[in-house]
Amino acid sequence: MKLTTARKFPRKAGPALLAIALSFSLAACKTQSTSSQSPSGIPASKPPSSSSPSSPSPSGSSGSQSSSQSSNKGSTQSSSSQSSSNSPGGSQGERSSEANPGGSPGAPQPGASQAGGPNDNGDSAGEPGAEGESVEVLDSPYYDQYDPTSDTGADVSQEGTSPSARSQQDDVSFDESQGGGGTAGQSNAERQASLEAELEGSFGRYDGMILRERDKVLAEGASRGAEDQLEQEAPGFDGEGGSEGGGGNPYGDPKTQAGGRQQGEEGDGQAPNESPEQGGAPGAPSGNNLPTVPDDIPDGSDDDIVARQIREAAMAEKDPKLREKLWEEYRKYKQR
Amino acid sequence: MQSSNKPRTLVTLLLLSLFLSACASHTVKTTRYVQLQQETAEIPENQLLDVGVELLDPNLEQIEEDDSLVFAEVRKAESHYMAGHIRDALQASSAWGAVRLIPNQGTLVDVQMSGRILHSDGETLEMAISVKDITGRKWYDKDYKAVASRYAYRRETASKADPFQTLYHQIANDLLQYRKQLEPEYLRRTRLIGELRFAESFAPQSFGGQLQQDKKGIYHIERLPAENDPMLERVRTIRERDHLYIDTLQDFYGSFIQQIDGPYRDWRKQTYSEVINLREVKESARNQTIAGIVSVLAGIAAATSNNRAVRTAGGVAIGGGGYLIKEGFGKRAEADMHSETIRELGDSLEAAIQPQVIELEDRTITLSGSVQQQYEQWRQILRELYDVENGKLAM
Repeated sequence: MKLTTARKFPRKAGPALLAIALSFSLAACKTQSTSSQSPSGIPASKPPSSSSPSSPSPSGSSGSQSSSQSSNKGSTQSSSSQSSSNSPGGSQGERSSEANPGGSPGAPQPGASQAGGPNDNGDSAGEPGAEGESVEVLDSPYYDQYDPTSDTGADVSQEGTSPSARSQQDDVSFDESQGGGGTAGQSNAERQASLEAELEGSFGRYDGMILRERDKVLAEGASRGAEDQLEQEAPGFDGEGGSEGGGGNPYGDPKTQAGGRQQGEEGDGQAPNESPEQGGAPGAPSGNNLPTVPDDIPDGSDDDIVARQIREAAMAEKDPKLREKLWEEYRKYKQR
Repeated sequence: MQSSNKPRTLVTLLLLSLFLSACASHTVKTTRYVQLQQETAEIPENQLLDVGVELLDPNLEQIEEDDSLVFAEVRKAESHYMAGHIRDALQASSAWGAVRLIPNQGTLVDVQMSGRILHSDGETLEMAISVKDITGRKWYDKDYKAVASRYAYRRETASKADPFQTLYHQIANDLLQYRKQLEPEYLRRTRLIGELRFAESFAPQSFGGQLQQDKKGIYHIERLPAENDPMLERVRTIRERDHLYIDTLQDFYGSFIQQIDGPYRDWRKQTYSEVINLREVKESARNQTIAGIVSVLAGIAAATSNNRAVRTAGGVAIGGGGYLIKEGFGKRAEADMHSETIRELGDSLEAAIQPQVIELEDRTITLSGSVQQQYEQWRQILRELYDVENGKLAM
């Protein structure tokens, strides 16, 4: 019986065993593929080998471009791979793409539509907090094709740099259109304009800083002068100590003396309605010196950052001479 | 023969000792006032040189090795105060462009004046001045000394001028005299070199070959940039900012000088009389000591004489000499008292101005730090602009 059974078993159980074995192997194969995909997060139709930047296909080129998009996509990319591996649609796509890693006719679309397509993108981008790290919202639809094998932003940067550089060499115009390549992505004219703007902006900030310092000192000097005047009850501005005969400049007010080249160059842009006595009490804030906008100055609705900074500095400036200089600077800047 | 000469010699020695013990006091009541020379002719714009007056070297090393009547904080304050007076005198001579106080040698100015305070008290001021221009040419080195008149500190007669105004006038006059002997072409070139050196310091890649330095360190113009060179325009704009920074420092310094002016003048006035007293007492003590020693020596010599009268005189001389020596020591004690008074005055002034000195240092360091940081950024931008304009893609 045993023997019969033993003999019969292969006959009857053979196909069944074969079927079971086949089903197990299929199941095992499915599990294996899923588990192998999960850590790497590679889009189904785009295994590492196919994501080579040297691939001449459009998908290959866009893949390298997406890896050059940003250096901090690692977390986003991994969240994308997680969501795709968990979603049913994703697993469907994975399976089909696994069978055709090179991009078989069964694959939905080459390139961007892999791994569930752009919709999955939106899903994954919508849950960046799951990663627990700051995830930059990418402005490129290609970021899901970014090589996700890297775990951190630093890794992404290192790995992404090389293809990025190569893609720049291959297709600079594409990179420019994406505008994500930093300085290297700009034309000379654009870069020059950007540097000029940066220079102008720094002038504005610098002027603001200097003028604030001067304002501070002059205001202190004015208050001190007022105190001295009260103490000494001397009529003159110089505030010379009556008893000691000292203090001040024996040649007169240095503000009026300090002439020379620079004053000549800068000119005296005093507004007509400002009192010439302002130089006498340096920086003394008075009710007549409330910041005003000259008539020829536009409303500033179209000001860029630099212009706005200069404008604000001018409006905040109490010293009429300095204020007029700032307005002059503003006019010059606006004429450019 | 010898016996007849001996009394005469002794008498001479005694008279000398009396003379030494008597002469000890002198006070300057008048000093020759030097008028400030002013440039009357109009100077063309392209020959108008800017002058930078460096803050004077306070010569603090002197304090360590010299006596303790020099005060570090006071000297630091003086380095600003006196430089400020030199600047005022130069400005008033109407011969220069902008005259400013500058913090250090790194500042590029057409004409740069530096100085060191050699001695300063209420009575005497001594300083060493050195002048060079931006081409590297040294104009001159000169030491100046002035003694204040007693009237400079008297309430009724004091003017608003500094007690050492004469010294500042001399410095300004010398500078003007030197400039007058220079050719207009040299003045023009100096200004150009000034601009190019500034440009080179900010954009060496653009202006690197414009100047050459010879073996003596003198700069010569090799070639000039185009007047409409955009990089030159940028550098000029930056230079305006640099002037703005230096002008802000003028505000700092001006405010500081204004703050310390009162206490410093009071200190000088009080120190003046103390210094004179100290000097007089010291001289008197020294002379009396010398006279006493001479008297004693003469008396000892006379004691060996055969002449009784001479021996008697010798005894008197020894006694008188001893008294003079004792007086000398007494005067030294008095001098110590004056020294102590001066020290107290100095300490008091130091305490009064120290907060201002510290505040000024803090402000200056903070501002110059920010400015230097900004300058570095501008240098970087200019470098990138140069690359871009010359077709080099910034990678």
